[in-house]
Amino acid sequence: MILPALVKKEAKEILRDPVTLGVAIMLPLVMLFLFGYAISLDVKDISMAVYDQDRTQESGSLIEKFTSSGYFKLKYRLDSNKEVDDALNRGRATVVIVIPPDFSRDINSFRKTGVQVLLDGSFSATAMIVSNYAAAIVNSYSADLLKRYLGKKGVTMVHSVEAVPRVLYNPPMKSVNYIVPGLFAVLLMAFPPMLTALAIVREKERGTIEQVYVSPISPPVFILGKTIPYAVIAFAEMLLVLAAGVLWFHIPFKGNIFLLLASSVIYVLTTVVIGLFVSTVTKTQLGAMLLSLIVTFMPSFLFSGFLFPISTMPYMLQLYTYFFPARYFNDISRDLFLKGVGLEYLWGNILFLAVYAAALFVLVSLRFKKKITR
Amino acid sequence: MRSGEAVIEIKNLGRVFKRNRALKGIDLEIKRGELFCIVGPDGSGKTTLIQTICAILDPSEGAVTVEGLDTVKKASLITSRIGYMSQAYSLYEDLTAEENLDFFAKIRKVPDDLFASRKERLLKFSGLSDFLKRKTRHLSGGMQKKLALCCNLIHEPDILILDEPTLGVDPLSRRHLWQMINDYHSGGKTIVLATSYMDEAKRCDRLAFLLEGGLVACDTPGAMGDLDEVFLKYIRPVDWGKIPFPAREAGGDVIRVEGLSKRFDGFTAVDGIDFTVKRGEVFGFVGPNGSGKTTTIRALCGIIPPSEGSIEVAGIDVASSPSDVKGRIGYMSQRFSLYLDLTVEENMDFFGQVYGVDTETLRARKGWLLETTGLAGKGNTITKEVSGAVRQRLALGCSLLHNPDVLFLDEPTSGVDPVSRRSFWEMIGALAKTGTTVFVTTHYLSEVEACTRVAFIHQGRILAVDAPKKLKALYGKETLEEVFIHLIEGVHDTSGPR
Repeated sequence: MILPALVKKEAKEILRDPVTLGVAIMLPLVMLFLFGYAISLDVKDISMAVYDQDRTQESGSLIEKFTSSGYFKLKYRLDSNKEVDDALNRGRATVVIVIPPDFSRDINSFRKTGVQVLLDGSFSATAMIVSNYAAAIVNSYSADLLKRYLGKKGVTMVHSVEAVPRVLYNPPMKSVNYIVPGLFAVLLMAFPPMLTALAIVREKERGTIEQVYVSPISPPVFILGKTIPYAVIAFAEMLLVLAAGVLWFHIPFKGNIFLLLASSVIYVLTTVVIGLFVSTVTKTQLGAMLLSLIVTFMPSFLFSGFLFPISTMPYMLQLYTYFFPARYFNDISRDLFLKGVGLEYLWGNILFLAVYAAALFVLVSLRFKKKITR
Repeated sequence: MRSGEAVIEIKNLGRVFKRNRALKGIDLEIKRGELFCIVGPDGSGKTTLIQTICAILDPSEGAVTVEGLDTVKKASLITSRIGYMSQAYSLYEDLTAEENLDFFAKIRKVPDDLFASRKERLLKFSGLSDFLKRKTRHLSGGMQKKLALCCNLIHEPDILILDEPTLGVDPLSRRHLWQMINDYHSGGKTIVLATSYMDEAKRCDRLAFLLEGGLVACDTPGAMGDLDEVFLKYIRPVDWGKIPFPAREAGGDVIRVEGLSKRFDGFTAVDGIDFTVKRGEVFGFVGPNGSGKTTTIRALCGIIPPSEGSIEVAGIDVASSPSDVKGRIGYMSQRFSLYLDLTVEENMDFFGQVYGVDTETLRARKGWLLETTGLAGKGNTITKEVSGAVRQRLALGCSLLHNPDVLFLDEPTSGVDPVSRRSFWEMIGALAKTGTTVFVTTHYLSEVEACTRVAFIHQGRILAVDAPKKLKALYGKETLEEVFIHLIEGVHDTSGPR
């Protein structure tokens, strides 16, 4: 049988290059830690500066309301408008609260008053959240004032409607629980294809491919012989990052573990076959590395919905995302970890990955002609 | 299957690569049982022709049939009947010798029982039995070629196709390879091979002479006559012109080596050698693959520090001041060390400037070099587009731009056609007359005959140093090749098989 001989030969070559193998296995883990810690969408400890022109008990309690919320940290007290500009320009403060001079007088004489909330809006996503937090704090302060006033008037019952949020799937709303399951999809799309992309090109560069051309090996068998060992490595990488996600980052896992592993196997095959595709269209190892970076890592980062929600992308780009397997596994991984849904929800995605891998395998086998191209 | 019938038929074959034409209008018939040879200068289309016969390269025009099968339509049927040893590295270097052999047997679907007996016979015959567990990358060049040949004999193909099987191989390994080839041929098999050794071409039944992609002659060696003359008829030897270097005074030792040893963890590459080279000598340094030649040259050039011993080159103690020696020597390796993506002139500028040649002198020497390489007025040609023989001359010239005291040449003529090789050696002779010392390694022992003195090195030790005439007289041999084989086999007879 030719296939076992091919797999054996490939495995030996890989095992005898322990440095490459070690890097291949460890790099996804390193990246998991880097990204797991670096990417946080949580907004807390926002640096705040205050220009309090009133300096009264009222203005003091408003500031206190901000700092006691846990979201804001008072970094600077400012004394002039120039300093306000300065604090924002230099990026010392994300938000500056400007309290007008007659703040307490207006409150006590029941006149309408306001505080200015100046925001660094350069990163719009954070600015939006900070703005919402600030508005909520000021509203709550204003409601307190109203209650106090009505209390003085002898009214103790006030009609009010409160929204009662109940967060499903990620109750502590920690972004790491969302990032890490997405990272599984991104990392497995980044590294296994890069390693696999070298598999055929290396033989082209060294010249051993000519021996393969003149042997009776058929293209699908040759491609399968390359797929199997690299898929095994990729699956090991997957197990490693999954374990680190659960044991180190304490990502809660709600779904069926076998479903996760089964879909991982399919995903890993997809990523390896993409690497082999790259390997058939390039001629040098350097070219293969660069091309695999462009067709796998970058789109999986941008278009998988890992960080940037697909639903907010322009429609044409949304259609574009359907080409990238990372999108499907990103959904599978997040749904299994956070929602714990079953096959009845995920079969579509899994089927897509399986069809994608199979179709690409056929394409690669057809592309692999046993002829020299120069 | 009778012998004498055409087994490979080539009709009006042409091949074009992008803008370059590699082959044109080739008509050939190779008969069953023939030992057929393809010769021609570098870049004449030998490899392209061979790959087309192997059905791994499709023709642009015309057709090739092997055993009556078309190479385009029936490629898989052809490949299963042939053995093909490419010029490129054809082994998996991280696998051991045995694992390579096993792998090739498996992918060639050799039945287990047949495999066992063939393996034993091949290993015994090739002398590789003791190196089965060694990783292929750690085998010497000669052993790698023998192993690659074994890997292509394991399925006993009817047709064996070899692309320069002895390139870069020492004379002893070359003799072994030819014993294997002849043995296989004697079993009635057809063998097609390309070579740049004329003595190999003479041993074949018929030979085809390729030039610039066309077939200029095809006949028996007897009918072709002196092959060097055939080459001379078609290839114009280069006139090197007047060498623009001021002559140095000859005489006196320019290289003095005493007790030089170099060990790499646990392995002794060079084992206590002594020799001297006089100014203006052409000193040949000859030995099998892996005998310590390259290590010695590297030590002499100050690239690697010696483990023991003293080296003096051009009056400089290399071991203590390795960087000082570099301005006084020139070095050219078999890989030609030119930047292929730079133009011809940019390469000259680079090497001249690196060695601090002043602008005026560099301009004059560049002019000479462009003239002798036939590239006058074409200085802005990209280097990879010039032919192998011109590139070799260019590399030699670039290593000479700073007029070094000693020129080191590491297999400078590997794979180059006989005419270019001859004119290369004329240049070496002329250079030595100006007082430049030339230290050269080569596997072409016929070239070494032209050296002033020659040293034979084996297993890190020098076996003999003297003028070629004296060596031949001393051992009573006709040629240096016979002296070489006598010396190497002598070592093995006394020390027994390793």
